[in-house]
Amino acid sequence: MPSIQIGRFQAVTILANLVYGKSLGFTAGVLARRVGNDLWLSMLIAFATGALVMIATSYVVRAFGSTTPFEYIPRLAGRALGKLLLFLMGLLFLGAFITSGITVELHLNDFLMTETPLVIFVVLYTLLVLYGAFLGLEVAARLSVWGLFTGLMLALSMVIGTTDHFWFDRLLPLFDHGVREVLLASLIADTDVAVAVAASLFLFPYVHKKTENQGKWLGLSWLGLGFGALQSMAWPIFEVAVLGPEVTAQYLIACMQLGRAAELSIYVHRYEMVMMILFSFGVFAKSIVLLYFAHESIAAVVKVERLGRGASMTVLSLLSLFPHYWLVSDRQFYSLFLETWWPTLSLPIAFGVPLALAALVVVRRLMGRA
Amino acid sequence: MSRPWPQIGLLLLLPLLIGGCWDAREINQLALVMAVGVDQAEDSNRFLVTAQIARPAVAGAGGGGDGGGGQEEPVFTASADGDTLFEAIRNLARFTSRRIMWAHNMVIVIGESVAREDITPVIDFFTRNQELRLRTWIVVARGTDARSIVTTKTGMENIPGASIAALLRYAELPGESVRADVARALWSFLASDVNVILPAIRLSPHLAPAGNQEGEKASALQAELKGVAIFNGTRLVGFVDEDAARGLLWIRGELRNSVITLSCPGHPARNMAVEIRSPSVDVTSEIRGQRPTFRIRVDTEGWLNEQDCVTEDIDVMQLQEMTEERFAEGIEEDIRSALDSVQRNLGTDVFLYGFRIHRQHPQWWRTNKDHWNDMFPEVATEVSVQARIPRMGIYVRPMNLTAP
Amino acid sequence: MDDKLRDEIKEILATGPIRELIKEEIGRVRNELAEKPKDHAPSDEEAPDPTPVSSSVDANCETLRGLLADSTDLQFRTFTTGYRGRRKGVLVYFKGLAKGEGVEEILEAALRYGNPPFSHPDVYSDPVLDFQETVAVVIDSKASKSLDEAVEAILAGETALFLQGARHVLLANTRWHPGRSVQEPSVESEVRGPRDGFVENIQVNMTLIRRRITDPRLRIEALRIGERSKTGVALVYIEELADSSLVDEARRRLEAINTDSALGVGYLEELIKDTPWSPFSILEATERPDKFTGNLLEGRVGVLQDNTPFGLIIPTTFWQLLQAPGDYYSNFWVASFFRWVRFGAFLVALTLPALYVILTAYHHEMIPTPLALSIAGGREGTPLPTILEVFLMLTMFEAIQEAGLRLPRAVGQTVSIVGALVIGEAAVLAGLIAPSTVIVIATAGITGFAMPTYALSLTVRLVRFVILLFSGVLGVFGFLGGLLALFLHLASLRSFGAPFLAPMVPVMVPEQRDTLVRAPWWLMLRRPRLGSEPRTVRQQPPAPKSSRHSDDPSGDAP
Repeated sequence: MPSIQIGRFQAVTILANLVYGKSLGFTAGVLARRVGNDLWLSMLIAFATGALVMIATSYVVRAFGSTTPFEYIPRLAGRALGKLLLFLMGLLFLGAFITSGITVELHLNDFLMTETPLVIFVVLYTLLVLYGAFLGLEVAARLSVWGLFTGLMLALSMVIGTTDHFWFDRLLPLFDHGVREVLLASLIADTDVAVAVAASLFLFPYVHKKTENQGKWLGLSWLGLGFGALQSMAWPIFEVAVLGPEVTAQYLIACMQLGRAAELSIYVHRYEMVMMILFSFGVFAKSIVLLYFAHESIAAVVKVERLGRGASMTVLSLLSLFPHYWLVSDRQFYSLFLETWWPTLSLPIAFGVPLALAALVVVRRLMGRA
Repeated sequence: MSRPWPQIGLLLLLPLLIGGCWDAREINQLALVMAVGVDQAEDSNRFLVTAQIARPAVAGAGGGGDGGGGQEEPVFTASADGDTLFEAIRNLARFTSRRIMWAHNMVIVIGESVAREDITPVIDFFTRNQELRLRTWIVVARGTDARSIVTTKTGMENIPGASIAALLRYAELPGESVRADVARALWSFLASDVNVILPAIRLSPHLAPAGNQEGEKASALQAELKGVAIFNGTRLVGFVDEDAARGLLWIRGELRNSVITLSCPGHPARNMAVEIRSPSVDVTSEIRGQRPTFRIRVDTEGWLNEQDCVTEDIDVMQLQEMTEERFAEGIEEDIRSALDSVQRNLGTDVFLYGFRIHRQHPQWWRTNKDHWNDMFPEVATEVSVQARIPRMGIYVRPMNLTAP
Repeated sequence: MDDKLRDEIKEILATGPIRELIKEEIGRVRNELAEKPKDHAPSDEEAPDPTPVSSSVDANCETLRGLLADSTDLQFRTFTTGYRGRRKGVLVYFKGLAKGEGVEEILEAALRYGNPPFSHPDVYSDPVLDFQETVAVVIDSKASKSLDEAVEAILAGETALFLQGARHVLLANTRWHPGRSVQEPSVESEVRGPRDGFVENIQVNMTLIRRRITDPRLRIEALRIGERSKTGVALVYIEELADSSLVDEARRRLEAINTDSALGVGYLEELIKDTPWSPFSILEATERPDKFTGNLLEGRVGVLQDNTPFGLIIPTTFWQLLQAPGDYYSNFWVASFFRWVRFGAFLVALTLPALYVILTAYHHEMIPTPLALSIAGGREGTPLPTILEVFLMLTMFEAIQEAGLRLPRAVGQTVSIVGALVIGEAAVLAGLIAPSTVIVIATAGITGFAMPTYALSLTVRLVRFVILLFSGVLGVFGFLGGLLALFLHLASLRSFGAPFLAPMVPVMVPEQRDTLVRAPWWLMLRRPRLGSEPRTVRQQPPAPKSSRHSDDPSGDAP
């Protein structure tokens, strides 16, 4: 029974923030390069896929109640395999933390602060997230409420600022690049959703429970994904309809281009800084939650109790600085990484582990009954 | 108990950064570019970039004009050349005392010679750079170089760049040119089914007030929004004007407001002015035996705002009927003239025909998109116009000398 | 029987009629014997007193002299009373602390006192106790057996009365508090609302609260804090409304304080707050009894302290610090609007200097072009970088404020003239400071004072320097990082277990009616919730109001 308890709505906002950030920052560009104006369809399909896999995760969560995955995964899958699974999950969360950090860093470094060395962003970002993760899941949950609010505000103000240039015809024709290609591309967008799906497994045991709440995990997960879609989906649609898919494909950070094309009247003619401020809270919340879970998962495998939580978390985040900087230092390589390596590496873990756990639970139940 | 170490750690980090301030640039040490012109330098392949830089001390001083620089110009204009645009701009720094900042640039003027050659460098440079905003206006200098457009003082604004931007912002009112910003230009440039069109600006003699300061003002030139520059791929191929420009906007469905001149009933030499209100255009395509045909359906209202002749023999219903008929004819003529000048003479698809057929018949487009440019001049267009005149200013009967 | 007792008997034999005294003595011994087993049991709450009151007046006086040393204002007034003036008595008090009339009153009563009666052998016949019950019954007093307690009481301004042969000392309440009468609060003034404020006297403050809540369930528990100051502290709450675990926690933390002295509520706050390192004051101090009472009625616990015109409210949330009592007195539309003005003012006061720096030194593209030109025009020729300029001006502003607080009222005008005219006007005219900077600093300064809680205003003034420095070094990233760290810090704070940012995060939707807006009273049917306890009913929905302006003429019918 974990001592931390977070509210149900806060859990929803955490899930919503977990799908936010990178999905509209980088993924839209990656998808535009593959499927052009169908990128928003791919993203929508990704959300739907995520919602389907959520059925499996909520099944697992329901089976174990408030037992954390750190306890039940080794029990369910056996000690060695369980440890491996946990470790993989930890690496997945760490990777997702790094990519979410890079989202903010490149936004800043490409558009607002071009002269500042990237390493400064990397280090400071990690330190800030470390501070948040150190304060724990409850604080991260509170931040994510604020993050969801600012995310929705951002989407709303972007919509207001760009409706003049919204051209519905550019969203058409549907499935111009073929259904198969769109579905394949949705796998790339799945990387963002899948992290939230996997994290829900770790998150829900901490959610404050009331009797009437039992078995409503699926509703909570879908609500979280729904809020996430609400604050994310406006972006791909508007990127296509306002900028055009060809322009979206041209840029590494397409959403910033959309932000730069927004005009909140002729007085706020530039929007990047507002966008950055509203955008970052959600991504910070995401990073904090991911670093927290990454640490918890890895710490459950690599026994480092003697260090104390703060110290081991510091060590982990300091170690993460190296891959972090390595990825961010070459933008072309990073873009390639997002298009090819990251989906191949992360999807099997993020979707595979929950599905495997659900299968194990089913097998156990059947065996128990027989 | 509580541990303050993270907080203290964050605070301790601060002094380490004091040596930073990498991006800090005082606003008064920047050269804020208000307008930029790109030309081809004479007798060479080099670019000549002309930047119009605001002098904040004068331009920003508001009412206090006598605070030091009463006679000074509010802008400082500098030109420099280079093999690439980037080099030319870096060369500007040789004699501008401040760091050039593009963020407030309002308008990019492309010289006609550059546009006829290739606009790729302009589009590339100004959209690759993170300082320029995507809503910067972009125009083509018509019959002149960009440099003279940028340096010409126009209208009532203090800063010439601002006046060109204002011309473009209100380009909807005359309805004879387009509004184009960098985002739109970039998309048209990149998209395979669309061609670029840009507004054109030329210099025309300023009509000075009679007898007032003749020597100076009568000869002064002023920037004037005049026509649409039509591109084929990366090159400028021509301009369309007035009626054809309005027709082009009709076909693209981008007309918002304009004035059309019709002949007076019974007095062919006299005119009536109808203001086009709430126009709507529906363009549909049809594939007839591998050949696409387009149908343009216009449905619009107009307000009769001026009638320059006395019409004693008709009542108001007749007048309305006759005007509506002429109005519809006028619109169709405009569209026809655009079809003539663009489709026959220039042969480049700036009607968004390719864009529409791509969406309406994706299968056909997939097989035929490579031949589209050859096919386009042959494409047939049907025009049907529904025009109503529900309002004649605040009059309710024709301009008659006696009651009917 | 020990020697001491024998001496006493001898002494008594010498001073009074023998039969009477024997009876007295028997009664005393009987009592003593009855109490004996109690004294021996260490488990009992009363530990054996190291300094009991002796039955000899002189011995008591000696002990007191020893404890209180030679203070010039310590008075011993010896007199004799009783049968034939044989019984010796002493009054001990501090001259300035005890009220003159009170001392005289008790002296008069003592002189009128005869002797304990003979006739009732069952009556407890310690003369002091007898005196208290007979002649001195009109006097607010209590009897004590401990000299330590007597010393404490004397130091608090009470008068101690010793009578020969008594094992008790009478402590008469002659406390006299030099102090203000109830006045209008000076820091938290309010246009609509009561004009009274807390004063330094805790008794008066309790009265102000009792006047407002005529409810037997209003509890005022007394505590003493401070090894030397022995400051009276009262824990105030309303039984049934206040969560009992909250009351227990507050009591526990207050009792755990082990300090020399507590001269103001700030001492208590820092000693009992959950996060001692936070710059935010997470327990609100108010000098308004109406605010204090209102919080009690919402189930919070209050702490009053003697010699301080402030009461502490436990727990406090961040949003409470932005609510003014006036919100509840004015129309709810108006109140909600001004609440939003205050939220805005908080944000402006916190971020405006930093925003100005990041806009003019980093992200010039954000400024609308005409504004950018006029700012640049104003900054033309100023020698300092923006960050330094803002930093210096902000420091200057704080210095002017400090000076304004310290200066005698007569020269206070000078500060405003010198501060506003010389520094503002002249610096701009001389081209040292950009006019836009002055505007920004002035706006930030004014909005800093729009906060209804002074402590919050002080914290904002401090924290904005930190955000300013972050932003000055790292532009929007520093600004973001500063805001984020601030938010994380605020979100991690708890005030007696209640999340500091509640009810915004964690979100409690029903509480928003008194947070985001001030809902009309007839909609706030339940009390706000502080933690996980259920929401209690505050009032019933009002009865439908009948229309008084009906056109029904039936009233006029004959």
